[in-house]
Amino acid sequence: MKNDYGTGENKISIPPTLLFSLFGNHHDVRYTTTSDLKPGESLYLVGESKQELGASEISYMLSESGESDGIGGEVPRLPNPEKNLESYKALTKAIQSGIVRTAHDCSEGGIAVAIAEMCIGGRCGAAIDVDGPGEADLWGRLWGESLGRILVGVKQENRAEFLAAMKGQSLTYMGEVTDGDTLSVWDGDDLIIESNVEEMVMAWKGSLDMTGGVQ
Amino acid sequence: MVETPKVAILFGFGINCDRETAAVFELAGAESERVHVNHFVNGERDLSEFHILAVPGGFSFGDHLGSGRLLGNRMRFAMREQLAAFVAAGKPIIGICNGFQVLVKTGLLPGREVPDFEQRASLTLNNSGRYEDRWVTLEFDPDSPCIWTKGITRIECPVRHGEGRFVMPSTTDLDALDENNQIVTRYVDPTTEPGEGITDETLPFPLCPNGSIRNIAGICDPTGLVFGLMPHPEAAYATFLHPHHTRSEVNEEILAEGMQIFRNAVEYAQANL
Repeated sequence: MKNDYGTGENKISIPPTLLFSLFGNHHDVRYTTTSDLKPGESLYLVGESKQELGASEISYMLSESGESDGIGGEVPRLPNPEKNLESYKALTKAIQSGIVRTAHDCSEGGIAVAIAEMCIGGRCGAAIDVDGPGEADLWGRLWGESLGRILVGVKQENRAEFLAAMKGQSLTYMGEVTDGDTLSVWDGDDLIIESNVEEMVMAWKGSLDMTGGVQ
Repeated sequence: MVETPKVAILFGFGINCDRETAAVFELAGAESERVHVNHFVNGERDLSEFHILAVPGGFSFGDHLGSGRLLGNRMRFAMREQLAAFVAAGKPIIGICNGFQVLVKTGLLPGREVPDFEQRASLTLNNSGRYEDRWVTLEFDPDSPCIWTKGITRIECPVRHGEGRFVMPSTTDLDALDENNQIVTRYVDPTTEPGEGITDETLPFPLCPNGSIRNIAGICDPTGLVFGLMPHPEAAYATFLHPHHTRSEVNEEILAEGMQIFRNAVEYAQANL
């Protein structure tokens, strides 16, 4: 994709970017999910975070700033795609039963960026704990780009039904959507990231502002 | 008594919302047929075969010389008699987005009781200076003679246009339009109570997406049969088209409030034609 918007001094050019889009048929388009968090949701991770920071956004960032060398270690691998397919099928079934309205993939920037994007989309706060199963260290669990992971939001009253639907799949409870305006990321008892949602919105949107501050 | 009104949906020359406009009329119980503009112009078809005429959105003639100008002229000069007869027969006409621009430039809107095909208003460049694609909230004048909007207080639907700012030569013209209740629908602030959102003072962007005088989004002719609006009610025909549809539980009701506009016309035709 290459995209220019506006004219003269006011022109914003999006750097040429390779985009992948997937299209498919839906049985019923009403039973779909979006990535914005909705009030009163509990958050789960489908899939597993491994120590896979190789060629990740964070490793590029740190290598550009001179804070680290190399590409960040092991690159993400998908040794058992059948297992992924199985949990996608279970998740799809849950979505099509209407109990899941929120889901977002974890790609560049891993879980930390994914949850930030979900807060930005829903304009609401969340508190998650990245401490969990697996061998990955805190860096891997925050920023790692392990494949096939999806962050899912489920209304609290639908939790039991969701857990039953996902029985046998790799699923980790992460936290909750909050009433506040802050994203908090914990590692057990340690608060690792605390970020105001409006500030994140400005950081994300600010570079595209051509309205002179009118949103 | 017409049981299934026949709707002519204009297409050709860059009109591009003809299929969805045809579909919503079918959902409302009418029989739609997409007819190329030239078929009316060259006499292969005649408007008198139909009960309702829809001029859909799009970019007719590439917006050259101004949105709706060329198709407006084509209808004004090459379809004048057919259109005059259609209006005289008391048949409803709707223009959506580019179709509204066309009807304004044809002179059917705001128009006269008996059409004289004189242009009295225009839709010009948005104040933002660019094409706006966003959802807006509309409110309707309950006292308007418009047959298309009976019983509708407030709906949400999308606008997709670069030239949607409604203008007239003087405030006297606007006052006259207002007194006749021809200002059918306006952009309103969604935080106001339904029924209390209408205001003359132009609302800030993006509530009024184009800077329209008095927040005008759509008008009708003095008879209430010819209606034009910049927003796209046909793009709000189903609940799942709303950008926030996943933020609530799955809505068992599939058809959305935008449908009422098309149902009203079909019911009008069934009762009166």
